[in-house]
Amino acid sequence: MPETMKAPTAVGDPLATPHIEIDHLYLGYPGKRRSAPVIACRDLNFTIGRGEFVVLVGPSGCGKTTFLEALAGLAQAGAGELRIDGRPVTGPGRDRSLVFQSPSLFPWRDVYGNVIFGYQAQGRFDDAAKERAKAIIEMVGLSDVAHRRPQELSGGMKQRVNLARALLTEPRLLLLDEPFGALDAQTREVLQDELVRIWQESAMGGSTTAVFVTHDVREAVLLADRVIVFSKSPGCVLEDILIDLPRPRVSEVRRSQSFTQYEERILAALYGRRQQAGSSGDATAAAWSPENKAG
Amino acid sequence: MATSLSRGDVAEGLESGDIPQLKFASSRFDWVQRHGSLVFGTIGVVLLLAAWQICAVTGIVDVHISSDPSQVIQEEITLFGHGTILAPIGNTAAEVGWALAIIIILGIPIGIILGRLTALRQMADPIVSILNSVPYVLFLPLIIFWFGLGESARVLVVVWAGILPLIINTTAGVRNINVDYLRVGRVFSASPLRFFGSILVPATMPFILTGVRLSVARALVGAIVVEFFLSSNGLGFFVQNETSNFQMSAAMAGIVVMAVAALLLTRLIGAVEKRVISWSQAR
Repeated sequence: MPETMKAPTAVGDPLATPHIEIDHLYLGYPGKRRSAPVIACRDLNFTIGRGEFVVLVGPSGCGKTTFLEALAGLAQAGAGELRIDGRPVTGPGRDRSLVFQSPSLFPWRDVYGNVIFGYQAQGRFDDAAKERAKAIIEMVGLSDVAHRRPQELSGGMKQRVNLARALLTEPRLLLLDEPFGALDAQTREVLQDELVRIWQESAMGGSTTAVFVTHDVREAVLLADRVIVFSKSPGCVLEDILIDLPRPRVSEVRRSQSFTQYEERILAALYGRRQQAGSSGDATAAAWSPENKAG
Repeated sequence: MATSLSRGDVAEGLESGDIPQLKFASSRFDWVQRHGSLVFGTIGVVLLLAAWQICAVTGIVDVHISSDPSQVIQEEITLFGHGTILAPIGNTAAEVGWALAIIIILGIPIGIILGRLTALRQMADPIVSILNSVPYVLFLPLIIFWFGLGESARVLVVVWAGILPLIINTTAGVRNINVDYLRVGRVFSASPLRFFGSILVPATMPFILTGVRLSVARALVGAIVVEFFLSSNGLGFFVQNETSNFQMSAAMAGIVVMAVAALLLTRLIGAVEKRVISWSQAR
């Protein structure tokens, strides 16, 4: 690969390398009791550019969350290499933050305390950060409950806190692991719109790269600059689709014709897989159909 | 801002003029409901004392053997008036106080270390089980043989009696930390110190306080037992001595002092729990 050759000299020159390079990457985990290792992703091979909003779509259990964990530095590469800014990922870093699938808030801290946790943990919390924390809490619409504990909040509010905590650290790579998957349809749509708004209004749109994992095809089209479709387990890339919808996007874009066309194209990529895989593919279709969000 | 939304004044999002008298607003019985355990607990104790008094007055039980509440109160006044019971109280309090301090200072770190280090925990597991399930009273003769009858020997027995529930609970708490919390710590590159102070200790606190509660109860038993066996002062010795002299009222008076002390300690822990881990009880 040309990237492999370029990588050592390109360190420190942000424009010369893509933000993220995925190079024949295999991910998985050890099998139980000496059985063969479980492969979650096989032979992933693509790059993600700086400032791109990339959405990974695939059926449940296709390894997309494992891939996100590898980007976060929580999972190790089994083979191949995963590079951020030309350097192999060896663990979590200050340049990245993760919006968790479950809110994962500390019940002993209030909303404000949870939002500042990430920044505090990275050891760079100061007075200026206090003001920024308040601004971010305002931005996600939680000013009124800033001193409530998480147990007093609704599911949607908890995910706003989860998002605010990740945003406060000013990551250059923002990772989102199905953050709206467990919410009811209405709340999910509201939060999708807000994420689009925050992404477009704040300076993040230009300087920050986002990788968002979901199995909701409409969510993918709404948010993404580019959708990468994963196959069923072990996951590999089925299709890589640029979403050329104009920004700033608004809620109504969901009803436009090109939106529907993109939606159908992604569905076709997933359904096409089903036809190739024959009978076993039916389970795959069920796993990501819009009616089955719980999985 | 949140500060303006103090609960109880006006329902959220409404002006005070908009709302009718709400059925769920605080009522006259609010005080009784909030202090229910205190109110009904007191009623229970009073009923028991009344039954005891009635039994003694009507001759169902022999007052010389059982005493009765009015005599115990008189005895209590005499004992505190002359100060004869202050020295035993002081002795037992010192014993239990030292022992609890040692239990907390040693028990929590030991529990945390065993919770974090799997190999060490597996090594310590049988020992902890044995110490927890074999009655410590069995070791009393040995402890007398090794350490004599002094103050430190007594404190040692009380520590022995009380420390295991705290170790076991703390270990269980550390092992039961929500995996999500650990992931948050890792993703945001929390230092070991930050992880310890901001995640491990607060997340384990409910287990630690339950452990302390159990340890206090066991330590009190330990203190009395040790005074029965190897003491010439302290409340346990006082009660034993008065009983063998057939001074039932004085013996009962000693028991009442012990009961009040135990109750106060439990209430104290309850108050600490309310302050420190209100988040885990609110659910």
